Amino acid sequence: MPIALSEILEDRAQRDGRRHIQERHVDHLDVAYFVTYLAEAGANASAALTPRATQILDRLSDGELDFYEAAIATDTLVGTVTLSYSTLADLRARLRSRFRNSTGIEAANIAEFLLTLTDNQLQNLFNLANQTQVNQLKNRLAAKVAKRDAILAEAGE
Amino acid sequence: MATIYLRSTDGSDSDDGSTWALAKATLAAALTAAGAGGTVYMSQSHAESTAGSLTLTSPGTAADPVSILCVNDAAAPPTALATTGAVSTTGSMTLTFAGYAYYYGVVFTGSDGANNPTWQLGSVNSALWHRFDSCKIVFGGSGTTNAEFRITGGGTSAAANGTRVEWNNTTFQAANTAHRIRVQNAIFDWTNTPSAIAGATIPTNLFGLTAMAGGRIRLHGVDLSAIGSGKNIVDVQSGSFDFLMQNCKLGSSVTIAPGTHPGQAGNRVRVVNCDSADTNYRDYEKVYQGEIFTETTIVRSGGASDGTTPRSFKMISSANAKFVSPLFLEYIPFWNDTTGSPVTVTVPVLTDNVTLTDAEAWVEVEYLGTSGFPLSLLVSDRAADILATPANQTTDGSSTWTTTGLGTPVKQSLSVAFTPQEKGIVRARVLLAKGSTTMYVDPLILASSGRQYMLGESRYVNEGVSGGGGGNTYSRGRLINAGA
Repeated sequence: MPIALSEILEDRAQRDGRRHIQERHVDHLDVAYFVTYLAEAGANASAALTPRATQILDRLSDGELDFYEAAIATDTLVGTVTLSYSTLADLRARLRSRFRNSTGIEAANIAEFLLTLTDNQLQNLFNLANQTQVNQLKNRLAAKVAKRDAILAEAGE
Repeated sequence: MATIYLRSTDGSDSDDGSTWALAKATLAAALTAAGAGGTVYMSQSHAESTAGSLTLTSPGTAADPVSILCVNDAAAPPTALATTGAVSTTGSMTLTFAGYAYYYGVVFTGSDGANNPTWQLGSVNSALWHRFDSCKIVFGGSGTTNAEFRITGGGTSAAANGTRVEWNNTTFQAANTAHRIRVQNAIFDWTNTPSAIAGATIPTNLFGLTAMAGGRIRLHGVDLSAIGSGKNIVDVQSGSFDFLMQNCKLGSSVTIAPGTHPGQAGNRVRVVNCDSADTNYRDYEKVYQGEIFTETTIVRSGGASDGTTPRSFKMISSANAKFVSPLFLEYIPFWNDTTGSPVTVTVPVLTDNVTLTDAEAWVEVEYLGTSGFPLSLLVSDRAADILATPANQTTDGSSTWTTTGLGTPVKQSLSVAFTPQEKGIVRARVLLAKGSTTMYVDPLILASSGRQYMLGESRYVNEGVSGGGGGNTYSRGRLINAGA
């Protein structure tokens, strides 16, 4: 999913010789990104385009993963996970890492997501040795979800 | 409330910490023993290390925070502060801070080797205030999973005070270019720090802002010159933050705020008088509707200047600017003495082959229009409403602009008249609603009241009066000597 187009839209000198640079990068979904900065007088603005494109992709991926990680952890996800700049494997790894230190409702929310994964995915994510361990993990995950649901079902009187 | 001595070299957590001889060995134990409002004296030779995660919970409260001071242990009580106390962790870990605390002179190192260092201050369920003074925040491990200095707030408790972290003369050192500071629903202040980015590894994005979160970030007097070409200060693509840097040193060719804003409630990034060179005029702003730069080539003759460098503002609207949600310049205030008679504010603007209508660009003025009360009124030269037929803004036939690089310069002026009823500050701002448009603005507002203008914060303008005698002296936006 590389950036499809990177170009310099403006390279305008300032009084002291430095230059206002405006870059334009377009991704595979035809979304444009503009980056502006003040370059030194002799800086090679064209050389900065390729590493910038990489940064943009990394940032888009991070942002996408941040969003879904937070949504799943807070049980506010609407619809399904749709990733344009990262992969489901990336998201699973993020959530596995967060799950390690999670507590309370967040732990149960992430557990609920983890239960949607295949046994093979769970085995790899948690570095388990066999199906028995996977089943034990799934039981623990289900128990967390059940406790959460029981609390959420409580009502006042 | 207790005074606790802490020294890892010969201390023991089973001792009571009442003297150097009976010092505690770990900071966690010392915090517990200190209690709310207590003081921990950390020896300059203190160097504790914990394998795995470490939680440092201060029992302090907002009214009685705990103070942890690195000191010279030659005396008891100590008479001199020090900056060499060390608290480290190893392995992939989370270093968690909680409660209310003030730290002086402590070097915190999170993780080691290729392990993942996660720092966590505050949470959505509990308030936190921590001030780090003359400390060092060091990422020891080069891992990248959740590897960030994370400040989290957004309390769910009715009594929650939120989360605020302050760094004063405190440096940040990364071990991987992916390491960063992340703020989530919290306040972060960073002040007075020379060579703020330590070490040879420079973060690609210094600040990462989290989706579905807001907050406030302020940097004053921070030397970020190590963050230069190919690096970014703040990632704006998510969150709803008010980000301000003022009087900071930047690296050459650094990018301030790459990324695409998520919407009108997204981040506002402002840079006031920050530069990598010897200037006093470089400002910048980025919002959903576009960006604003200081411009020193395309300037108006006799326009705004600090006395040496003429300047204008370059407003570049994004495709998202529109009539109901324009890009706007910060308010330009000036003192007005006239009451009961019309005052006219005129702002010269310039574009390249774009004739702007009053639905595309206008000036808006807030003035004291209510007799007997400091109640302001708002007036502008904008089209009457969104359904009104737009009219071209006035052609400016008198201004002379340097138009280097412009193919077809179009000079116009934005102008509005109003009748103040009270003396006082009048504020004017320029708005650009036409999307994907570049407009140069001379912030030397021409007011018929006879008083000239000053700009807020650190922007300089040439003072002068258009009528009457005397002169006014302006210093950094403040009127300090009003002439006759």
